[in-house]
Amino acid sequence: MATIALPTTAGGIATNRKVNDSVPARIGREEADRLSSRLRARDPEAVDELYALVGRRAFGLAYRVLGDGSAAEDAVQEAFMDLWRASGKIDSRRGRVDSLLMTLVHRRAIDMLRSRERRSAISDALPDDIVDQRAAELVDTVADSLTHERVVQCMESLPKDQKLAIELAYFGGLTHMEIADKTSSPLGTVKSRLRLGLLRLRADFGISEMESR
Amino acid sequence: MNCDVVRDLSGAYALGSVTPEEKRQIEEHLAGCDLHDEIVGLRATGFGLADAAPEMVPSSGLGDRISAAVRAESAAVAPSGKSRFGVFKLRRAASWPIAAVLVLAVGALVAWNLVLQLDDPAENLVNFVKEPGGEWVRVEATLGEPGTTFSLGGLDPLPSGRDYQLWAVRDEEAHSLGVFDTDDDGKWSGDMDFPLRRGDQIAITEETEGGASAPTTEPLISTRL
Repeated sequence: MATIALPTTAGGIATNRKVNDSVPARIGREEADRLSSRLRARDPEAVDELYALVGRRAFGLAYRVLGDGSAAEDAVQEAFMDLWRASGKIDSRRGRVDSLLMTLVHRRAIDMLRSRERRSAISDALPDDIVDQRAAELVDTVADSLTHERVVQCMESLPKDQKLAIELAYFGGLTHMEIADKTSSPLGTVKSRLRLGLLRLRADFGISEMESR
Repeated sequence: MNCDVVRDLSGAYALGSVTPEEKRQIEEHLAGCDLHDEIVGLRATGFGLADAAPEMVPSSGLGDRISAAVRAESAAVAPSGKSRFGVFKLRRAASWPIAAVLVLAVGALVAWNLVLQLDDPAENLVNFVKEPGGEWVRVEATLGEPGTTFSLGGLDPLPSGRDYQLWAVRDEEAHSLGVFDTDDDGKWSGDMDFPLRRGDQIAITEETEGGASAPTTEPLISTRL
């Protein structure tokens, strides 16, 4: 199997960008709702507050995808602008605003990564289909317990091949065909690894339990 | 695309790891088939992966850049005229410690400047300026002959005996444009008898009443038109 490197730590970045190993601060439900209302009312100071609350999470995600501080900051900025431009459509009943922002950061970062590597874009600008809306509502039910430490712990508990496939898809922005090529694995095997790995994470995250309620 | 294929691709779809064409076909199938409830849960799981990345500290300027970009976009889509002032909250820029005699140098300050080129034949330039740790100040300048019309917002009224002084920096030389004080809302507008050009640096200092022949305090703001 080929060796695949993904940016996983802050190694090599500027000294003022240190890793914070503490549990990321979470926005409470009420605070998220209040920020959503203010964003809908086009209050720019709500953007400042949201940045203060989730800027580090957002940058950490973008850096994990891009492995470059400057590009990661661009991705975060673009995601905030996406959020601002769509602020009139924000509905707190369909997902918390911090979760929406993280989705936008991920999409922007993946688009930039694929563009940098001369791969075609695969994501949409905004999560607006019905699957995304229902998924956003669902993940919000467990958001308070999904800390960085817990997600990492769940990922580490996966079989290595499943973990790698999921990391290459989510953080590497690879399609299942690209993963098969990169890992020299049959396409059907890659699709199974992605699905089985996610099914296990779904249970470990507590999402399956919420679905059954 | 049939149910088996959709099921096989469900993990890849949930992670955004399908091609645009596969995505289109899957969503077309989902619109007419209710046998794939697991996809929503898998997609939600994919969203949860965002927190697999550790928190990290970006550069100190990122928040300011985002803030500036949002406000600039707000101003750009706002109706023209005085209402643009009402788009965002304007307060005084944070005072900097009074320093010894200072010669303004182009680029000496680190500030975030945003320039909007409005659709205006009179070269109406709007800059949003924020010094580190300070608040947003709006500087609007209408260039032309024989002088420049300014419209400023975000500066607090000064106590008795103090004035704001506007400077233009050209070829590394500071030219006094005049002194002014703001109204109770922190705004001032007026004409300065100095034909500014695009690319000139302007700065505002706080001086004793009547102004000074050269800046005696560090600029509250500095921006290039």
